[in-house]
Formats: sequence, structure tokens, C-alpha cells
Amino acid sequence: MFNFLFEQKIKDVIQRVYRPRKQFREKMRTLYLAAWDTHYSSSATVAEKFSPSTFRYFSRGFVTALTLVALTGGITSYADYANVGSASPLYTLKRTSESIRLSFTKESARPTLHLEFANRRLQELKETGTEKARLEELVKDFAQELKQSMITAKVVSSENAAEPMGAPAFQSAPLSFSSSSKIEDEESDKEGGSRRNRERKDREESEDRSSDDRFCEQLKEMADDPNPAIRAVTEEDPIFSDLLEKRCETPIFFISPSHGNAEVSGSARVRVATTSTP
Amino acid sequence: MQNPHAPIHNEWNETVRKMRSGNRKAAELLYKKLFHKVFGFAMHRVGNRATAEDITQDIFMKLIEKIDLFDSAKGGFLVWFWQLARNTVTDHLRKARTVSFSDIETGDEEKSFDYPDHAPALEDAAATNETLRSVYAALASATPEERELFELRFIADLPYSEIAAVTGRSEGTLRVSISRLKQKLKDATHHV
Repeated sequence: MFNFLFEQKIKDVIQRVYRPRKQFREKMRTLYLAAWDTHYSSSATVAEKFSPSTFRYFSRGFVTALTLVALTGGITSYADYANVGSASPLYTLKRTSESIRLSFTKESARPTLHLEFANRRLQELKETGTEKARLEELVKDFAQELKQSMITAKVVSSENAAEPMGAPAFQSAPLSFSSSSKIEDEESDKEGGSRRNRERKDREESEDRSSDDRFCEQLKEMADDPNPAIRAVTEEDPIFSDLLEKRCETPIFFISPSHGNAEVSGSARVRVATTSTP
Repeated sequence: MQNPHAPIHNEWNETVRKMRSGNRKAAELLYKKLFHKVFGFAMHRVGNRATAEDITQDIFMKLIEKIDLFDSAKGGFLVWFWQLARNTVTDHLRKARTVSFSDIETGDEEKSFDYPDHAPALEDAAATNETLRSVYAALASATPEERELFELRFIADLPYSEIAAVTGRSEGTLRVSISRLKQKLKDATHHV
């Protein structure tokens, strides 16, 4: 008991004599808490930062967000697959899906995809009534798709022209016309079948011309549409007029509105070679 | 056999657990409980207020940096903390000692530190306290082990079980050693 009292007395004396200065006490406390704030706001582990309830809320939020994303993705895919009309509430999602598809499509296949979308706009135009703003928008989009198709075809073809050994996607596409024609070229050279080769080239050119004619017919048909609203907007749209003039009056490009890959044909002509749909 | 200091042990570990889970109040509580003891410990070791302040600051900064390394399964927090504090002081003294060696050529030997082989220094202001002066006079003739026990029991205020964990000695042996130390100090201060 006496020993305990003695021990306590010594402890009290030490505490009293070795009492830190007030200034240091205040400075040290501030420093310590600031260091703690810095450390625990940046390096606390996930388990320490998230209490069980926080984790529960977080996981619920995460699952909800995941469900929403999946649902939106599903509806978007459906809108694209079903090719909903411009009056549908899912139309915006369809257009979004088209943009996504475009961004994930390799360059050599983009002209075809733009043409597919142009056809869709055409179909939507026919289904749309007389609302001028809507028609204007669709014609503009239609013309834009065609223009993009040509631009991308031009890019692909110029790349192929610059690098004859390059563009593997274009040349090695199993269903592409150019790929099969190349093999046929080799075979015909071996056999010395120049007549067969000529026939094939004639047939190909004739197919391209007929596709191009059909395409021009479609453009002209739109320009002369009985619906005055469609007629008016085709006249006003600069891209549409430009296409009609350049594509159908001075045919530099041959683009199939249905399918195809772009390739160089001759020195100055660029075309989108048709490929039969399996 | 159940540890009689288990509740204390659990209380400290619980505070640390809260602190690590982001509880600022727990961090502050830990600081309040330890601050005066840490400063007293530093003063006891270096006998200089400015140096003791530097050491105290270092110890608390290290506490924040390394608290994540503390594993309650391996022992009590106090044992871990006082090991950290002691190591910090030792590092500090070692650095000071390195400096003092470089000063020997200039004849400035007085700066050198030598712990635990020499008695703790007593600050001038503290030396005016008769009791403390007597205690330190007794410690001057004490063994390094006794000085260590004095530090852990009288300054850090650790329970026997924690001192046993820090020093690696049995609790029974410690009780006997501390009792002898108390007697020695009492004898030194009986005239006060």
C-alpha cells in the first residue's frame, strides 16, 4: 500500500515537472489532427472507409445502376433490330445504336453501313407524314449518310491505292468481290483465260452501273416525290442537291445502295464493289 | 489464466480500431491519453525541452503513419506504441551521437549522448524539484534494466503485463524487480 502511494507520488511529480508548454501543446495537437486527416482521407483501406451499412448502400446502388445499363442496352438493341420508325419513342435509341455500331465497325465496312443507314432514312421518309421539320431532318440525315458513305469509300480506296499490299481486311474478306476476283484473276492468268476475265469485268461493271442507276433513280424519285413537303426539302438541302448533281450527272463513284466494299478500279474511278448477300 | 489487464488492453485496442475506421474523436482521445506521457518520456531521455518536443512530434507522426501496421492479434496497442516511441528516441539519440563524433576533433565532446549506459539527464528547471533530483540521483547508480523499468512503470505508466510484453520478462520477475527499484528510490528520497 505504502509502495503504491510512493509510486503515485513519483508519477505525479514527473507529470508536473515535465509538463509541456502550452504553445507546444496547441501546436502538436493541430499537427497531429492535420496529419490524421490527411492520412485517413487518402489511404484508409476500402474496408475501413466503408462500414457494413455503407457497403450495403453502395452495392444496392451498383446493382441498380447495372440493371439500368443492361435494360437501356437491351431496349437500344431492340430498337435497332426492329428498325423502329421515326415516330417511335425508341427512335432516339435506334439512332444511338447506329452511332455505336458505326464507331465499332472497321473502316472498310463503313461505306456499306452508311448506305444501310441511308436506306433506313429513306424508308423512314416514306413513312413520315408532312411535318416539315421532321422531313427536313430526315432528308438531311439521308443525304449525310450517303455523303459519309462516299467519303469513307474514298478513304478506303485511296488507302488501298497507296498501299496495294495493304488493306488486308478489304482484300481478305471471304465474301468480298475483290477477294474472289483476285483469286479468279490468278487462275485465269494461269490458264491464259483472258476472255473469261474480260467477261467477268464486263459483268461486274454492268452490275455496278445498274446499282448506280438504281441509286440515282432513288435520289431522283425523292426529288420528284408527289409529297410536296419531301420535294421542297430535297430542293433546299445542299448535300442532297450536291449528291444528285455529282453522283448522277458526273458519275465518279459507283456505290451500291445495298451492299459492297470499296476498291480502286482503274486510275481515277472509285467504286463500291457489290457483294452478294449470303 | 486470464490476463487481469485484459479490459485495459481491449479498451486501447478498441480505440485504435475506431481510429483506423476513420473516427476522428478516437484519434483525438488516443492523443490526449498519450501526449503527456510521451513528452515526459522524451524529457526523461534527453533532458532538453526543445529536443523532447521534436521527439514527441516525431513519435506522433510515426503513430499516424504506422498505425495500419498494428495487429491487435499480436499484442496490445500500448506495447506496440511504446516500442515505437523507444525506437524513435533511440534513432534520435543515434543521429545526435553521429553528429557528436564529428565534433570530437573540435573538442566538442559534451554534446555526445550515451543511453542506456548513462543516467537520464535532468532538466535545469526539473532539478529544482527536490524529489525528482533525488530520484534521478538514485537512477544514476541504477542498472540500465532498472532505468528501463522506471521509464516503463513511472513515466509510460504501463501495467505489469504490458511491461512484461515489452521487456520479454515474466510478470512475476518484473514485480520483484520493480519492488526493489521502488525501495531504492524510496531510500534515496526518504530525507525529502
